[in-house]
Amino acid sequence: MIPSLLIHPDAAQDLRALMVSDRAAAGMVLALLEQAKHDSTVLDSLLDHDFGAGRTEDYHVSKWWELWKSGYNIWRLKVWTVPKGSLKQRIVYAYDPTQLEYHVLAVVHRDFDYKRNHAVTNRILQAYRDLGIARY
Amino acid sequence: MQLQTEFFKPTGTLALPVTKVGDTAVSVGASSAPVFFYAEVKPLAKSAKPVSVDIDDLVAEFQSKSVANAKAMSKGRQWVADTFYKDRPNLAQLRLKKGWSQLELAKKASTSQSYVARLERGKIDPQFSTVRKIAEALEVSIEVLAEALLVEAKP
Repeated sequence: MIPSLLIHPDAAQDLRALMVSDRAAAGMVLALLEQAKHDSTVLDSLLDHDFGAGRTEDYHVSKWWELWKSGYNIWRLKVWTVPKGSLKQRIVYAYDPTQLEYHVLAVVHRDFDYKRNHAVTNRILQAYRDLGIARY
Repeated sequence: MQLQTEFFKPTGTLALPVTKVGDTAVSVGASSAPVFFYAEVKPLAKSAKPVSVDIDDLVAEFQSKSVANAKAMSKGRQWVADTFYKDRPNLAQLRLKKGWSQLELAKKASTSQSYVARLERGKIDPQFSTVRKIAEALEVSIEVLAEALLVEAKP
């Protein structure tokens, strides 16, 4: 069974907003997600905590630790771009191991602070619960 | 505050005989009888699972809005090739460098998107005629394409 990559409606809205505000960034993020959908090597790396740390790869994968400690299977992808900082968006996603499904939950600006009480965090947690992904 | 027991008290009296309450037929001969009205209780609706959006539909939406968007998408794919595939000189890299989706390559090579997807995953052993068509579409030699296909080919 091949894992699948799905875009939550909230993340789709993030991407639509990005299409308007930053066309080039939208093209990059959309192209990355489009390709990830078809490439199991990229998908596999998205569950490898600290993959690419210290710029050993072209992107960095990290668990969202504060939520992870509460049982949420939520991750964050950051791309090391050249020139540095040229892609200001981060991709937040969840993984449902029972269905082999990656769910993109949000596309956020790098200024997002990942604080538990942030409105975007609450939105992400609600999306996670709505999808019925179990906490461990 | 209304106590729960109050809900079980008669809500009134009816002067006329009642023949039916809800789905329960009753015969009441008396001229005055206690009446209970009850409401049908429906289970709380379970919230529907959100309907996911396919990335291909979002890409199509983005590209259809303007020529500039289509160019941004093409550049985005070239960026993916340079960033994520610079050490993987496979078919996906050749295609992405052109700025094409799998569907676009499939159309140019007169094949299907699913065929291109399987080819990129190294899941099929293509016929020579197909290799030639894809090489022509990508404007690379058959040797270059063969090398690219071997990167993902599973023994």
